[in-house]
Amino acid sequence: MAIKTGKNKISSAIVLFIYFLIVLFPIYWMFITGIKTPDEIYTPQPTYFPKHPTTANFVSIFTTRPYIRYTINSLTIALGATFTCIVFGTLAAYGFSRYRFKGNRSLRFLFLASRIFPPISLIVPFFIVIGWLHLYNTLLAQIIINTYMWLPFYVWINIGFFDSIPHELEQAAQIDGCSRFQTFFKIAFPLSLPGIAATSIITFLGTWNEFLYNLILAPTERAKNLSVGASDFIADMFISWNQMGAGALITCIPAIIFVIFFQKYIVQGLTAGAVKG
Amino acid sequence: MLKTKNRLIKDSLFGFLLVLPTLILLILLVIFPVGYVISLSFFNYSSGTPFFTGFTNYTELLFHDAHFWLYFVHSLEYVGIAIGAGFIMGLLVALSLNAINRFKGTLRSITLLAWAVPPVIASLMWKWMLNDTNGVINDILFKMHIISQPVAWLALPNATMVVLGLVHAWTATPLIMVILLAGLQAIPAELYESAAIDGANSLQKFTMITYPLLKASVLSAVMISSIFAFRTIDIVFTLTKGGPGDATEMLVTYLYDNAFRFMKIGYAATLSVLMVIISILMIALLVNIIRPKRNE
Repeated sequence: MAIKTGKNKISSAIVLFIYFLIVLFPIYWMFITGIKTPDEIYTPQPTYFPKHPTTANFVSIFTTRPYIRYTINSLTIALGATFTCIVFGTLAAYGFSRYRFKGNRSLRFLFLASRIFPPISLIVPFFIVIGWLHLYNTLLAQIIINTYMWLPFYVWINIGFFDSIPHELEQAAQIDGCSRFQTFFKIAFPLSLPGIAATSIITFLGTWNEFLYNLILAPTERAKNLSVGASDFIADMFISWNQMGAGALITCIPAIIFVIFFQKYIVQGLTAGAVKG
Repeated sequence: MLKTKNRLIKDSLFGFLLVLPTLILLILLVIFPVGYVISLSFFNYSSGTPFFTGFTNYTELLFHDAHFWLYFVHSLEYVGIAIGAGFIMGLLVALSLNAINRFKGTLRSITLLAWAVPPVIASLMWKWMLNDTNGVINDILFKMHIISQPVAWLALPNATMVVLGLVHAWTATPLIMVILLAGLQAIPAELYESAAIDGANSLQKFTMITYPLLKASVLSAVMISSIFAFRTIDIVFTLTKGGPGDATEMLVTYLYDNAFRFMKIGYAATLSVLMVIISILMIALLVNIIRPKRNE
């Protein structure tokens, strides 16, 4: 038996080693591409360790391309949409979890069902409506659309988190004379912070990574985000791969930070969604 | 008595008021655009004023447009390759992570990285690595004596779809893995212990314990990731834009082209409605195939 588990562990370690190579190599390659000189990029024999590491690519994308603007846009859109989801979604999830009212269940499923529509299938009406509202190429339009894409997810997952918090504390608070709102803000809200953190991180990353709606509804630097900004490199006649590497790295910063520091929350949020459907 | 009844009514009113802002927001953001896209799908709206044409767009797409069915098949191929590869990888990684008790947090963080990297960035990176003249993939395969000539991975009429699917699998594996791992960890260890006492081997343990109890997680993982794969446009848009020729053209790119290149807005709206119907059918089908049988 002992030998068997040992064998199991070795094969597991081999699988993980291969998978980590597959995951990490492209990220490593992006990193070294971003710090290589153009001469080192355009050789038929790629170098696996940069010979003359340089920060010139980062300097040049921030000076010759509107990367400062893209970064501000990405942050504004992601923070704006996440904040809207927290304000609207937390209240809704709490309402669904704690109070019985007519249509509670069917409304929950209506919320969930709104995610059935592939984003591209709503691009035509959004494109037209955003035009009517004179919101074409604005950050506000981006925040609104990303809110639509993530709010149902946010509500659905947080219903589960609220369900898992015992009701007794809130009942005690109400007996002590707290109003319904006070009970929510003073008792339920602080207790549900881990769940809110988990869903907010996933919402933030999802919004930060959004591509399609930004590509179509934000053609200029006024509202363009980093994802679309990075893909602009391949629209050029001559692709500057080393600059693209630098731009890609900057776009990945939140992903890397969140995964390293908040891995636990991300796993919680993702699995809560999967288990509940 | 009257007081408690009053309180109950107030409670349910309060609950509804909490939900109301989100409900209004979603009605504006979902119901209205959905209604609008459905109505547009009955119009000819390309140049000039749109005019009502009934089901013309639908019959045109379903019965006269050969592209539609071809690109539908391409979409299915893409989903199949991506989720097939992603699922095998995700299952292997989940089983491995479940078997190893050390460095849990670090190991999981590394597997999650591929999920958190923006899909566009992942595909840009792969586009660069798969480059035929300076790409590192060709260099590695060349050094391993697998290929003798540089391969233009993104211009192979028959195999580029496989390349696209594998790139998607790279981004999709972590979510599949996380869902399966959660399912694995919910299986009580006692079952394996008693199976070991009864003399079951690893394969028997997998087929008799792990697989049946993992079915629900498998359903979630396959369903969620297939739906995402079906609607993903970032990867094909960045890597091939449907090429070479139309070898990797899919429903998502066809919809995009109709709306924003050919300016056939009504036709694109019809395609949108059909894509929604296909998504719903996919969900229904998958639920039926993998759902654990109640009467077993």
